[in-house]
Amino acid sequence: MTGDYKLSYSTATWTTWNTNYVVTNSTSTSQTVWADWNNLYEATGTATNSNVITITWQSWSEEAWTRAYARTSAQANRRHYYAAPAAETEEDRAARRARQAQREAERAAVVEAERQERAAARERGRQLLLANLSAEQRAEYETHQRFHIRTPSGRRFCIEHGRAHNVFELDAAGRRIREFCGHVGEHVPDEDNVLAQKLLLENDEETFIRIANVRQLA
Amino acid sequence: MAMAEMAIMDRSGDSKLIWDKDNADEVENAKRTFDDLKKKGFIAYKVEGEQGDKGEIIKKFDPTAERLIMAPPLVGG
Repeated sequence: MTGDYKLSYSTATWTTWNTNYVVTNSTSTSQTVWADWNNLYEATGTATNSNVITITWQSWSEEAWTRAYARTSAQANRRHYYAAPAAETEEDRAARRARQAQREAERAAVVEAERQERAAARERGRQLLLANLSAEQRAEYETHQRFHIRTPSGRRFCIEHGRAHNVFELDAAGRRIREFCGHVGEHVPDEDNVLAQKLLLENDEETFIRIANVRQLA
Repeated sequence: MAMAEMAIMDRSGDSKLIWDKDNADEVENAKRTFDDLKKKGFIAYKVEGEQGDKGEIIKKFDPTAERLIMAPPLVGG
C-alpha cells in the first residue's frame, strides 16, 4: 500500500475499513489498514511507515496463522482432511504396476480364449456345411464364398456366406432379381446359418419366402 | 453296431449326438433330445445318400435315420 492508493475512492474504502475495526492509531491510510490488521492479531510492533509491512507479515506469520488454525477443532480437522496423501514410494509404484500388468494379462488371456472358441466354432460349422454340399457347390463355396441351389419349384438361388441379406433369387439369365433376408435366430457361426438357409429353401421354399424379408432388385 | 448321428447347430458350430441304433436306451435318449429340440422350434432334417442331397424335413423322430441335422428356426432379417 503506497501513496498510489490515496485516491478518493480508495481512501473512502480504507476509511470504512478502519472505522469498522476501531482504528487506534494512524499516520496514513495504508498504515491504518495494516495497523488495524496488526491490532486484531495483537501485533506487538509499533506501526510506522517503515514497519507496517514487516509487522503485518510478522503478525500473520506468527500470530494470525497459528490463531486462525487453532481457533476451532473443525478448522484443524479440515486441515487434516485436506492433507495431501503420502507420496507413493518406489516399492508402491512397482507393486501397482505389477498389479496392472497382471490384470492386463488376464484380460488378454480371456480375449484370446474367446477368439479361439469362435475360430473352433467356425471350423466345426464349415465342416458340417461342406459335408452337406455337392462337389460343385463345395468348390464354388471354397473359391467364391457362395454356392447355387435349385429348389423343387425350379427357382434358382445364390446363397452367399454371411448371416443376413445373403440369399438371392436369380432369373433365367443368372441375374439377381430378389434379395432375401432370413437367418437363424440364435447365435451360430455363419457357416451353420448358410446351411440352415439351404436346407429350408430346398425342403420348404414357401416357408422360407414367407419368413424372410424380400427386396426387389431388378 | 449301426451308428447314427444327430448334428445340433449351436454356438460351438454344432454338437454331435451319436447313438447305437441297436441300443434301446441310446435310441430313447436320442428321441428325447429330438423332441426337446422340436419343442424349441428346431427344424429336423433327415439326410441320406450323397453329399449335397437335400434330405427331408421330419416332424417325428425316425429311429432308422442315420444322419439328422437339427437347425434352429429362421427369422426374418
